[in-house]
Amino acid sequence: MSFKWRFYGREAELGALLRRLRRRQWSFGAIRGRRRIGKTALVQQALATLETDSGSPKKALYVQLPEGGPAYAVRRFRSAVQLAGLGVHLRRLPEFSDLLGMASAIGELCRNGVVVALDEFQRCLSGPLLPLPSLLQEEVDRLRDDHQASGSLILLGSVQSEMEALLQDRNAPLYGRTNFDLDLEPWTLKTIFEVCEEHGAHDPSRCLTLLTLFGGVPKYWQEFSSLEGIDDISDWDSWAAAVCSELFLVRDAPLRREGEFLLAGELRQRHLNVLEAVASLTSGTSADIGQALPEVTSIGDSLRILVKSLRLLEKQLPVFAPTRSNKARYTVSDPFLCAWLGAIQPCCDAARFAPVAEVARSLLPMLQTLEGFAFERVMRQATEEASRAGAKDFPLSGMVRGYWNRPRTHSKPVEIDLVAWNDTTRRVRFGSCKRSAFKHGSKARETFRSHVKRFLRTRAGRRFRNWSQEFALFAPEFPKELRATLEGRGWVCRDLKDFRSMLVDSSNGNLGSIEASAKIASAR
Amino acid sequence: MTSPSMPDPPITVVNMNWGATSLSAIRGVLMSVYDALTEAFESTPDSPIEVMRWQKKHPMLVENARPYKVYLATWSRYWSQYAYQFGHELCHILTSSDRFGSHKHKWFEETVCESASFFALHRIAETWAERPPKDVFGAREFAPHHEEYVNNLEQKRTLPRGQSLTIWFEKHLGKLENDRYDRKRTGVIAVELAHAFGKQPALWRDCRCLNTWDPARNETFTEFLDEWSDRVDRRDKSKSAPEVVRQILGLDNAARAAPSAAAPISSRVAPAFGDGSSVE
Repeated sequence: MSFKWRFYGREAELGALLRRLRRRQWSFGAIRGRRRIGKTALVQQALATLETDSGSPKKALYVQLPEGGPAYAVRRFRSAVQLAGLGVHLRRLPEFSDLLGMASAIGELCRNGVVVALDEFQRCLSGPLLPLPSLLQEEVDRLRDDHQASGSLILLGSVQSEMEALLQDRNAPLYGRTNFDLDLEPWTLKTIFEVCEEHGAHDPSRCLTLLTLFGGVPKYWQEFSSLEGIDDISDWDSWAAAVCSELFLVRDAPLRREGEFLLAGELRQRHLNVLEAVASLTSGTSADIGQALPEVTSIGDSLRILVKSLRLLEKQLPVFAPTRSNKARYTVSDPFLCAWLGAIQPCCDAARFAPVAEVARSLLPMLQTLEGFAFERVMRQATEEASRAGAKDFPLSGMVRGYWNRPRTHSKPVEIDLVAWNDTTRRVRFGSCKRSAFKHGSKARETFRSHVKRFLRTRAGRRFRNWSQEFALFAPEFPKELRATLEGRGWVCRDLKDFRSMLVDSSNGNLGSIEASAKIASAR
Repeated sequence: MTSPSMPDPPITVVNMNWGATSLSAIRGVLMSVYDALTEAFESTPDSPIEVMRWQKKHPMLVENARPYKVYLATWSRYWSQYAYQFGHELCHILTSSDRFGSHKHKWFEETVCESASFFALHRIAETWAERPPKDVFGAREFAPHHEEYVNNLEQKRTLPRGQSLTIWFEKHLGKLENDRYDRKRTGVIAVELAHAFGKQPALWRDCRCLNTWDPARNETFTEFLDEWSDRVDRRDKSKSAPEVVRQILGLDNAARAAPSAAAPISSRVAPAFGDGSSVE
């Protein structure tokens, strides 16, 4: 690979964290986000940047709270303190072997200017670590009143609902005490394009494959970037098979157990069953899911947690129905889980008994199908992101969301991949997404137009009848001649390269290099 | 403007959300520009400069504030953009911009400051390649990007092929007097000034004399240049900045009498038009 892995994207989040940590004052905050989203990397990068400013390493401690009991957590904490050479700050404290002692030690470290990061903090919501938030509360309150204290306590957690319960519930011991709160989302497409460019996936078809497999989760892209010899493979089939084999299928593949790890780490069994049922249905109503899981009683509860708290499922309402319709459908929204449950997991199982090369080849058609779905999602995201970035292509004020049910008044279905509009300019863009530009043939275009015609006759579509209408074709890449022909006939053609140039604004000039991130002495 | 006991440090980057970068790196970039321009002007600001970020489209120097307060409309590690914006605002400081705030010749100061940005970018492209600032990670490798950035800006502000600056200026002076922030128009002249001042950096010294009289009393731009000339102390026989400007814009008597012989710069036919942006 041509570039060394570095810290990508997350400008606003890193800037906000740095702004907070640069103040010579006590600070207490939380960083939340899905597993592998880069919470630790963000803290490490902030520490490296602060080191550049001050000329000396920032004193920091990283501890991952374990699932075991308090004694185990305390042992882990003590060994992290030792590894980081921070024991000197705890000399005044008596030897400790319980959570109370650990909380006091955290307080003492923060008083001495240390940045303490506690990962997997959601584990304190129940179980043996339950007393820790209350014990920390006392320290946090003391530090807040101590104007000499300059350290920071950062709580990192992956399960949204549990972190909220620990920090934002009125009855929680740490309620109302944080002075910063960062929620890490998956990378933006702008960042993904930048990573693709630097790590041998600038070819749009390869970029789409990786987007399908990883979504915007940094750790997975990092694993991809460390594969050797992948750049030299010229055809997509061999390249995709090699990527899947090396990352998922061979015995020591780095992501071979990732799906299981992710699901087991985040989900209770009943939520997992529901998630798997949704994945097998691709998209289903709660009744469909209930039918697939007759033994599970509280499906509604699980669906709510999977959508709202864990953000692994997306709830879609029918396009042609009142807002409060109860005909919602559910789909897996996390791209990695989509790929894992839809294609990779069965192949990982198969690779235990069959030759990896053979399994990898059998994975490709499934991957291509997934890419079709992923591409629609990517194009909608790209349209939104380009609009937010101020690109002139199509400034948005709204977009049709939901699934396309058949309108009651129509005998034929309506399904359009993208309907976006701008209220001010009274402009509407209808889009059709295909995984290959050549699939936008005359028949496909005719079908697309007929769906739009039917949509304009529905109650939802009527408002756009007298608006300026645009028909856009989306594909990963349009060959020059084909684009010229289609544009000559009035179609708007947009591909991944177009969005890349819209999102990566060259008027800012080039971006300078960034310092390598520091490794915090840690105990995992 | 010169201050013998300049407080240290001359630039403070205020702690804000600057994105993925250290404050010392930003300061390193700004100091490169500071060094380039203070060396050319042979002068340093009379008060330290505080640099802040805001989310507007353009940078700004707060009028009559000491320490000076500069807002930049950039962030992260877009080093050339920092240099471009800060170079412009630093030039306002070095030309004592806030002494005379609003008058119809203010467009000229905007032009000079635009030109100072171009000059600073060309200069730091050289210095970073030879002596990269230690606080800016990867500065040496970045050096060519400054040149790329400024070339791109200059190309966008170059007149269309075949159009002479003197004729263009005659046509657009009124518009410039009405809107000093018309960057496309001031930029056209700034490119020419940057070329001339780049060849003879001592001309920047003469810009310190701008704002040493009240330009509101100058009815015409020629009068403005005359008054500037009167204030420039030239000990050698080289042309002063006002003379060079006259020559570039076709306002000198010699150019009017015999344009082809006496106006080598002002009558220069511009190279190919950059990106199709609307310089008329």
